[in-house]
Amino acid sequence: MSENVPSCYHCGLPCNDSTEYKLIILNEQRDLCCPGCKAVAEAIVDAGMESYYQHRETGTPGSSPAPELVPSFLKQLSAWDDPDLQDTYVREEAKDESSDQSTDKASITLMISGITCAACVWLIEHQLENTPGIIKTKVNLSTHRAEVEWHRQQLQLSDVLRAIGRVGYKAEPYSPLVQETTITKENRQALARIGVAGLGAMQVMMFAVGLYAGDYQGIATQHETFLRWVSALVCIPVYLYAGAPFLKGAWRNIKTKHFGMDVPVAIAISAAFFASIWSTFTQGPEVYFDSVCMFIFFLSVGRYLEMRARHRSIASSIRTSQQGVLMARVKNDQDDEWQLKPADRLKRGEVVFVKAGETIPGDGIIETGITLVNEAMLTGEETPLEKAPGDLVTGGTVNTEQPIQISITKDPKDSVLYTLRRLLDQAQSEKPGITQLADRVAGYFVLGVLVVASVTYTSWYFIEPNDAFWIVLSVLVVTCPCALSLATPAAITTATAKLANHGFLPTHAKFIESFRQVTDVVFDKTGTLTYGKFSIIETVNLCDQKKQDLLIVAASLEQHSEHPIASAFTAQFDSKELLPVSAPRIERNQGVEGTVNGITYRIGSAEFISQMRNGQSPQPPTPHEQWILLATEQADLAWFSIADALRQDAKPLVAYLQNAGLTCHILSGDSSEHPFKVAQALKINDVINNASPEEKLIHIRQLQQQNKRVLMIGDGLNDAPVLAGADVSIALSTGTDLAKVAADAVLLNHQISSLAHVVGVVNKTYRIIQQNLSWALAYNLLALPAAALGFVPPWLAAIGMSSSSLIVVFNALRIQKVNAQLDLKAN
Amino acid sequence: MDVIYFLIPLALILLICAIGAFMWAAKSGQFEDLDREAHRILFDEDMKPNQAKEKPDSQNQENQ
Repeated sequence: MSENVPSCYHCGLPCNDSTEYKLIILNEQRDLCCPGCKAVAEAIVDAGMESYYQHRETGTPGSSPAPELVPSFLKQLSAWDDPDLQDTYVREEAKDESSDQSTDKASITLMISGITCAACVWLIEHQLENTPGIIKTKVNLSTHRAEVEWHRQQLQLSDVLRAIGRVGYKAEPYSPLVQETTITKENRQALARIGVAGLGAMQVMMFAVGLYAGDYQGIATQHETFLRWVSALVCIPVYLYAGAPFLKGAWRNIKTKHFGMDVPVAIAISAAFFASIWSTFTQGPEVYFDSVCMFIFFLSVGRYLEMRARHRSIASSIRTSQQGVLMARVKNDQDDEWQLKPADRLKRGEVVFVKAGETIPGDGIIETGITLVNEAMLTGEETPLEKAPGDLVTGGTVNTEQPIQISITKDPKDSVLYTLRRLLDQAQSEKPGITQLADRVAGYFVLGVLVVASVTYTSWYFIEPNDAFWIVLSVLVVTCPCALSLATPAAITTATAKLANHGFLPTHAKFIESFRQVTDVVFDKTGTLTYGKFSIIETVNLCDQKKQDLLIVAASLEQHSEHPIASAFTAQFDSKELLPVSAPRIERNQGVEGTVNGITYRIGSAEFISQMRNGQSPQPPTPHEQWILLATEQADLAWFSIADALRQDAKPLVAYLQNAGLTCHILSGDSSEHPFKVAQALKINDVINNASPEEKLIHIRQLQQQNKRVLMIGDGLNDAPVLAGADVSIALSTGTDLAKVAADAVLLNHQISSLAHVVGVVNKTYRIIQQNLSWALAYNLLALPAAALGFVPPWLAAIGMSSSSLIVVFNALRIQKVNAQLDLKAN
Repeated sequence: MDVIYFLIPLALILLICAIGAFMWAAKSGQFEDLDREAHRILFDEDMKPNQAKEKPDSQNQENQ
């Protein structure tokens, strides 16, 4: 391709020099690549929404909309008008008290794919607002969801979807997962708590300034009492409402006899709160209401930030793992028409029609049609298997060649897919736990504080019995582990953001700590260490023609074949470069014959070539690889070795990990010798091939029993239970939904070498956590003797607490600076 | 200094209003999508429809 190929103004993909699709956008003639982009751009311009093009980021909305706009897709949308189908998704708006048109309003949540920036959101909202019949829309940029409310009598659901489709986005009805509803609720509650704590703390601080000033200048007793009373009044809701999570957490910890960070926090705030209340009633020497409110405010903010980072990753992982509703074409008994229906509503005995390239919706037996089925998501093996009438097929596998009809033999609840899901749930529930460093520290901390407090009390009891209680109280306040309990969340929040920048989404709060303890890395082969698709690895030229010419002939022939191997050839060339083939003939699972430039060629297996010549079958150069031969009737031209090629960055990554002292393993479902070859190339010693999901899980368990911490990296459906069972797991974003759900983290870019960044960030984060914890402990140890000797007035305690917390937070920000680059060329 | 007996209760009333307003904002989901609100100001809302009015017929036909 030449260097200055014009790119499509709408989607950014390269388009022809002489493209016939042109449109005036923002007062300039723009080239567009296809009728799809043109239709979308026209719709945008006509509706007066051109400013979308001015404000969108990076100039490209993720993908070309063209395939979504083909008539068959838009037609399929009509299936959504079926009331049965809408059932689960559409919510009837409750009868409006005031209006006459009572049940006409409906609302729905849509999942929209293709949103990349705020401009997309604006575009969709405007498109919908300009559609008559729509009452209200709200598109959420971070979750990619749209809430739409419309008049049912004026507009069908499919019209709503079509309106969004017309500006180039794909919308699908969506029912929010329980998980997401909880996230929203948690988020709102946490915000409300921060609000109460923050506003309350501000007020109490103001009263406290009055009290502190009073300590210096003198203050009338009735004023002091009044200020204490109002402080108490404001502090009560802060303590009871905003402080509730800490009190509850501490109570849980005490019941399970496992001391976490909540215990010392709860002791400190409760002691300070009740003592201050007591002091208010009895006119005691000190009140600590300001400290209580500030503690709660700081800690709530820390927890909130940590929670938000966690929610964000969960939301994105839900987003990447939701591929929408799998639809099945079911034969309608009355009129023998094919009707669309969600796959999870299939019943035993129903007949389903599956087109080539579609996912098989359920377990069943083929009734008519012979095809190739790719079971990679089940077995990890990429070579498709031939299936004829009477053969069993599994839901979730992909029909690659011919249309087939299947009679469903199992209800969705008994299907193989469902069984795998159950295995996954089980593995997840048995996942080995990990104690966080901060929690271990907390245990000793509680003990230490209690010991020091009682020693202080007894000593002061003998020296000055009246002051003993107040000094112990200041010990407890000063030692409130505010910085200590912010130390970990601050570091983890920064690390999560940093990892997300590298295309890496941890979905689990404990990911960083568990990752650091890993001793063994287990890779799945297909799709993880390899690309998961065929390519030409080696060419043996048997004639005097140029290799490139032979490849073009081979690719021209193969373009007529649907077999996955064909893509190894055709992927290398642009369709314009291929030569015309006359009379192409495809022999199933054997090869292709055709005439190019007057010469008849065959490409395929050795047997297929020998059929042409009656007899002698040519010998492939090596016995084990998969060899494809290109030949004419007279002579063999070239052998091509086809295999699932190793990822470019696999080798440096494995070397890097081994250098870092980790043991690498390969666990593959592939039954061939290929895993061994991959292992040899990567210098990995421990390889197991032909492993079922159960066997993979057993293998991981064995490693765990040897006290190893296992990191599993995989992508397939067959990996899902193992991903769930490993100590830490990472799924590739190209992987199946189930794998992503099961994993602790998802790798969004397609480079497994990003793992090197992860190792760098994790190590740095751990160091920062250690520093933070040591600093916080050091601060507490320093302040403790001063408090125990009675030198710390309330205002000094408040200042010390705030500054030690800030230092911890700023230290955590240093994680942003990690730069662990894996040099691909070094190896 | 007796003015504090009036001013402080007044501040408390304002405090209750502020907390109420914040709670309402949080509960009605106004803090849920902060990225989107940051960009809203950039878009030209006035540019709207002149042509949109001309074409509704063709759009409706597609819908049918």
